[in-house]
This record gives sequence, structure tokens and C-alpha cells, in this order.
Amino acid sequence: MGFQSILVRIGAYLLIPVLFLVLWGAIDRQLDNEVILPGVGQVAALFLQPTESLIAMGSLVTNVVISLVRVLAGYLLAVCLAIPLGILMGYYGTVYRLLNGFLALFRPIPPLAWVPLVLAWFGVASLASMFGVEEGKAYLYLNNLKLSMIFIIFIGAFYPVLTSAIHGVMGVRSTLLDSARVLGAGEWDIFRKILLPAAAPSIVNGMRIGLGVAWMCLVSAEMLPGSISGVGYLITHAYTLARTDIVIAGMISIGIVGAVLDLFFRLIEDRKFVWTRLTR
Amino acid sequence: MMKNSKWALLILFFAALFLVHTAWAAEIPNLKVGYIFTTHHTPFMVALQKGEAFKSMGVYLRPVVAKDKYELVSNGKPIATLQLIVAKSGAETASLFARNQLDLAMASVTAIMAGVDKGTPMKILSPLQTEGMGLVVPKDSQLKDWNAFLAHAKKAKKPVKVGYHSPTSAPKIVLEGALKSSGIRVTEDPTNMSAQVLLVDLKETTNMIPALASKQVEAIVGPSPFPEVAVSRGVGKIIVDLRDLPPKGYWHDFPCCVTVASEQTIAKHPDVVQKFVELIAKTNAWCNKHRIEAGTLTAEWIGLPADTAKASKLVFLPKFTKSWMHGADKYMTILNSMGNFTSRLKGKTINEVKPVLFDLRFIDKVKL
Repeated sequence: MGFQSILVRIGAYLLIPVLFLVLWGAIDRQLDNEVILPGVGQVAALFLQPTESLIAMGSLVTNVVISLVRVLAGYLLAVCLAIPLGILMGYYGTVYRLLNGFLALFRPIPPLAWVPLVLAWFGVASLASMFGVEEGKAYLYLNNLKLSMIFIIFIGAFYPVLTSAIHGVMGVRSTLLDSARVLGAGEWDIFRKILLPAAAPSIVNGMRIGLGVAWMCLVSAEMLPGSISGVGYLITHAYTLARTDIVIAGMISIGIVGAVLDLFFRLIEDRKFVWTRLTR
Repeated sequence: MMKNSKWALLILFFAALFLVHTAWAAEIPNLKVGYIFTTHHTPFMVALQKGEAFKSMGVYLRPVVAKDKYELVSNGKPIATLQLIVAKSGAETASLFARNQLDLAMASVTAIMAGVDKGTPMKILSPLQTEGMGLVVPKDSQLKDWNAFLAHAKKAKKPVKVGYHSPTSAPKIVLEGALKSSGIRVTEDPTNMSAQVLLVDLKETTNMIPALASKQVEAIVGPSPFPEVAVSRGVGKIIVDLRDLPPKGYWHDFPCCVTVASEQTIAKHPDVVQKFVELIAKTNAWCNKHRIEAGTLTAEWIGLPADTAKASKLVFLPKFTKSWMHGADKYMTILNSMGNFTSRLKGKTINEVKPVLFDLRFIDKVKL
């Protein structure tokens, strides 16, 4: 690849973001009102000092890390439950018939609609109160993980992962399974060597979508009572104080972390599931 | 034999230590205290930060985990552990009481009235703060004071839009009352073009400053710290402090936030409730005397610019006043006229609902 083509490629990636920033700057100059739209430089300044404390809420980095841990806690719980359940529902018709109707009832409910119930069930309990940790550093970390928040994120991530797992397993060609059985493969071999590899692209795709939804649930989750940290809460509190620059910095942070996590899944797809392109 | 008895003694010692610790821990109740990140709850935030500096008051807070858990100390001994719960609004606080998730809290009196009406077992213990409400117009507006605003409303070809954050909030009620007493026709119906002022529900305090900045409304009326934040962010200017509205003196000590406890906490831990009320009442008095320091501490706690909190005109009430009760009665009338009460407070006056709404035993015992 020549130097010129590398430049063209980089230019193609940067063109839209640069145009967006230029447009942002122009609108900002026109409005001249930082509550409606702060300047690009004002927001950039926050990213240049990511460890500085903002509006007494801790730094941008600290809040992003807290949010990331919360998202991962709810998301991993969803993945651990949805994938085995999805595989069972996809493989065994009886399990599917037994659970699908019931689970489908809850699928259209937006995670935010669970808030009143979640508050009644979990209140302001955290992992710290669950494990009886009352003081020290462990308390500080565990108390940030409120059960209500984890549940809201869990419910957001659960259904995309479950649906994709069911779809992935149901989509495995029956000729593959029958051939394996004819050749004497046991159930465990079929699961390990045929079902799982064939359904994996769909499952990973569901995990990718689930992680995106988990991030979307973050702001709602961090708005629950008892929270005074996390990038979602930082955005809300900054809005209260008319600090739109912090609101935008928080939004960009969520976007960046979400994109990085999405990239991780894309890399897995590119490296491990190249064969799916060959079968098309 | 000797060795064995030494071990037995050691085990006995640790067992005794464990029992003493357990007994000690069991004696101190763990109570959840709700508050909101607002200057209205300045006294609580001041008490949290001043800690042992308030030892001379006889009751103070000792940090266990900063911004999260504190011991309520009376006469040198911890009497309760307080777990702080930050709520977003008075309505959310009342809802947490209904779900048995809070033991003590600070919240707006109207939210507590609504909760009590619905049967939530909680009682108002003491007043917290009053005043600090302002009418804010855009920074570049020609309007400079109340009289100019009235003249503008009378001359304008269409109703002047004024934004408020809640139909049951003190700023909206006070402004509406003052406008009506000044002979201004007020409406909340956007199609009523014969009115001179149109009050616009902006739903949340957070929407007030953006609404003013984007000229969706010509003025906003809000509680502290929003008028001060609007000034500090270069969006608006305060043209009148609502306490100064006509008729003169009528709007003084208009109720806003109160200290509340669940009925269960009152029954189980009356001594702790007594000390908590004492702490808040004494800190209220302290905040009135040390306005700058109180403002600075609050600004640091919630992330406000220091000048914003210092400019606050909040008044903290150590005890209920006649004026406060009169204002609370006005709330009762308005909330009843809006059909907000459906049960215990329906059609009642403040004097009629005092036994349901208040538990004044604690504040009456406090000596300032």
C-alpha cells in the first residue's frame, strides 16, 4: 500500500468527524451560549485533564471506570444466564415451548419500566450490604454496585443475548447434527463440536448487541436513588448545574467506551468466524 | 494442663470480645437518611462536613466512609450509624419512604403531604429552609425589577411566558399569588390569549436554565440554587426575590423543605430521632449565622461554583413559625383545589391534619 493510499484511507476516516467539529464550532459561534452548546475547545479541555475532579463528583476517568464495572457486572450476569438458556431453548423443543411464551411477555418491556418494581425489590441495597461489608476499601467498591442498577443493566442485555443464542442454535443445519449422530457422536460431542461452533457467530453477535443495550441502560440505572457516581449520574448532575460541556464530555466518553468494546467483538468476529463468509 | 488453660483463657477472652462487639454493634441502629444534592439541604451537608467541629453542640456527625456513612454522636457516644441516600426529588424521597427504604430524610413539604395522603407512614419533624426563590429573566432583558415586569405583562400583546418546575412548588404558588394580587390575569392554558402571564410547566428544575437560555420562556421562577446558577452561567439575572413580593411580608418563611422520619423509626428509635432533629435545628441556626461558610461548604459538596452558593438567600428555620404554618395551610388549599389529595388530607386544613402530618414532640424539646 502506497503512502498516498494510506493518506486517502486516513482521510476517509477523519473526513466526517472533522466536518462535524467544524459545523459544531460554527453553530457554537453563532449561538454564543454555552448552556445550549459549549465550544469544542471547552469540551476538549475536559478530555485534556481527565483525572481532574468535576463538579465535586470525581474525575471523568473515575466515573467512566465505575460505570464500566457496573455495566460489566449486569452484562456478565445476563450473558451467563442467557447463553445456556438460549442453547437449551434452541436445542430442545420442549424447553422452548415451555419458556418462550413466558419470556416473550417480558421482552417488550423497556428496562426503565422496571424501575419502580426494582426499587421495591432491591431498594438501595448494594453488593456491600449483600456481603455484609461495612467499611474499608472493599466497601467503597462494592457499595457502588447497587443491586437495582445491576438488574436494570442485566434486563437490558439479557434478551438480545437470549434471542441470538436461540436463533443461532435453531439455525444449525440438521444434516450436520444427523450426520454426527449417524457417525456415532454422543450428545456432548455434538454440543461441543457442532452446535456451539455453528451457533457461535450468532451468539457473539447477540453479545455485541446486548453490550450496546447494556450501555444504553446505564444512564437510567445510575439515576436510581443512592447513586452519586458513574458517568450517567455525572451527566445528570451536570445538567442540573447547566454544565453542558460536562454533559457532552460524558456522552462522548460513553460513546468511546462503547465503541472500543464493540471493536473487541468485531475483532473476535473477524478472527474466529471468517468461515461464515465462505458458507454464504 | 497449664498450656491448655492458657488456650482456654485466650478463647474465652476472644469470645468475650466478640460478644461485647456484637452487643455494642447491635445497640447502634443503622438508619438510612435521604437527602438531595441541593442548597436547600445545606444544614445537613454542613453537619456532615463540620463533623467534630460541632462537638460543642452536644450532637455531631463522625465520618465512617466519606460522603456515604456517618455516626451520629451524642455526648461523645455514637448512637446511630447513618447511611446516606441521595434522592433526586421530594417525590422520590416520599416514594422511598413508602417502600420502607428510608428512616430519616429531608424533602419538600408538598411531596411529604402527598405521600402522607396516600398512607405512607411518615411524619414531619422540623422545618429546614425557606426563601431563596427568585424570578429570573434573560441577562440581556430590559426588565430590571418587579414593577417593570408587571408593566411589561400589562403592555405585552400576548401572554408573557414564565416557566416553573412543578405545579405544587413554592416558587410557582408564590408568584401566581403575587401576580393575582397585583391584578395580573394569569393562566396555564396556552390557548388563553386574554391572559397577561402564561405559566409554563417545565417539569423539572433541570429544564429551567436551558429553557431560559433558548428563549422558550421569557422568565423562570425557581428555587435556590437555580436563580443563582442562571446568573453564574451568564444566562439570566434575578429581578426579584420572591419573599419581597406583595402583599408585603405575606410570603415570608414560605415553607419548602422539612425533616421527616418514618413512623417505624420514631417508634423504635425516638432517642436517635430526637438527636437528629436537635442536630438539624442547631445546624440551621449555625448556617444562618455563618452564611458564607455554609454556602462554601455546600458548593464544595455538590459541585456548585462558590459564588453561586454564597449568593444564596436561603433562610434556615430552627423552629416552626406562624408564618410557616400559614404557608403550609396555603399549600393544603391549593393541593386540595387541584384534586391532589384523595384520602387522609382531602378537604382538610393544616390544623386539622396536624396529628397526621406532624410529630412536633422532638422539635419542641430542642433548646437552641
